[in-house]
Amino acid sequence: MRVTLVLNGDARTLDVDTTERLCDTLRERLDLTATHVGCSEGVCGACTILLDDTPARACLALTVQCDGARVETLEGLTPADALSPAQQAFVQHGAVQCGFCTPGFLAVIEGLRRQGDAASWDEATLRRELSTVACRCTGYDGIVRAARAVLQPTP
Amino acid sequence: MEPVYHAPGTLDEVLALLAIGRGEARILAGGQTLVPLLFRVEDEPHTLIDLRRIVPLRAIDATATQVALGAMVTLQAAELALRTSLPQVAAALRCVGTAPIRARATVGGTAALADPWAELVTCLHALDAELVLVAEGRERRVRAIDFFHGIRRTARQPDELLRQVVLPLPVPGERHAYHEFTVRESGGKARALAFARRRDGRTTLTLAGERLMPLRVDGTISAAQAALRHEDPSARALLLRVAGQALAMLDEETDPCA
Ligand SMILES: Cc1cc2nc3c(=O)[nH]c(=O)nc-3n(C[C@H](O)[C@H](O)[C@H](O)COP(=O)(O)OP(=O)(O)OC[C@H]3O[C@@H](n4cnc5c(N)ncnc54)[C@H](O)[C@@H]3O)c2cc1C
Ligand code: FES
Ligand code: FES
Repeated sequence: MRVTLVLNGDARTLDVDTTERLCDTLRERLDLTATHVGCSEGVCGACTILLDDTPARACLALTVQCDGARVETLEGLTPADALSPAQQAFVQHGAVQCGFCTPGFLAVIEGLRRQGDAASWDEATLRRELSTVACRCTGYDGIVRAARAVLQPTP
Repeated sequence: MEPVYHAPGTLDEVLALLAIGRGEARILAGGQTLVPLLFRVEDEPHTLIDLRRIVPLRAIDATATQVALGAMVTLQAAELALRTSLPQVAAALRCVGTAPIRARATVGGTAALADPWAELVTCLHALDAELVLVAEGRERRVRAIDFFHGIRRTARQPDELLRQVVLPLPVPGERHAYHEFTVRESGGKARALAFARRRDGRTTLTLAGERLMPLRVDGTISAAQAALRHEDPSARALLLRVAGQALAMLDEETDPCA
């Protein structure tokens, strides 16, 4: 099947298998390996990318379903020679250990930033929204602090 | 064998594909349940019919007495649309998975799957919603109680598409309360759902669980106890706790979702 994705801002036309998952197209066909694959069932969130600005599981989408859609991966969310503000916050707040979950969290946080209503959220709401990605290492506090720094900056 | 993939632009094309598919064609909605099954080759349809281009299936039509949600309305869009008209249904939908799942999972996919623990399935039962099924040359409306036959079993025929679910709006004085509880433990989870409804002075309670399709009883704990006597003790205890909570919420003066 021929599909066109607007991938990290560039239109890419590809021939893919009908049952090929978006995460496999990204990793295996396009060598965009920032998108991680853990559970393959939608639970762990490591594969979360932005699909038309909204966080979505790349393991739960067929690439053919995404024909014409805008797909953004961590490669696209990272400036060429620097870290994004969210990545800097992750470093500063100790929100990364092995880094397996980090691309998923960064996609979720970028989705929340674009959606724009996280600025007024209480701690519980922020934590609930972040709970869509599982981290096996950090104990989450650093991730919550980094997310707060990005989404609820204090002037 | 890779299935043949179609993403038709009209409902008529979908129905024609379903008619020639003779049960071997699978509808693809949000894909949140179907994609892993296709990936693990547990489900090998010869044809996949993706509904994503059928714009009318994304419609939400409200009148003074009902809200009709198209099959391709996402759970996220449904939650937003129902916040003021059916706030307890919206509250139930907020309990589904997490935001990235709700952004893709659809009303039609959830109802067609008929998982016992699906929030929407319990709400459709509790509210006496109707489901609209269409096939080439025919259409029927089925009440939720008649649509859900059992765990992952419905009245849908292989050539039928679930087009819409129709939720009645509350009459004056009608009250709703939804409560659910999920315990995650190693090796799985236990979940209990309860929807209490008081309409024209009569209270009903709709209960569902991990392996219990929605069951509607009179709105008292003793009626719930009697109806659940064959459930295993831990599932029953959880269901009764959730039932008690929903009934208590019904009697609170303030609307829990206001
Ligand atoms: C991590 C995770 C957590 C989840 N948590 C919850 C939860 O808490 N509560 C809950 O209720 N659900 C939950 N779900 C399930 C999710 O909501 C389902 O994937 C969804 O209900 C199915 O909808 P879909 O649009 O993704 O359907 P698909 O996966 O595309 O399809 C599901 C089935 O329905 C059929 N189908 C789809 N649309 C139609 C139609 N219009 N007519 C006829 N047949 C159709 C398909 O052929 C297929 O058999 C969760 C899923 C995941 C991955
Ligand atoms: S790999 Fe997609 S959610 Fe775990
Ligand atoms: S840093 Fe290792 S899983 Fe999160």
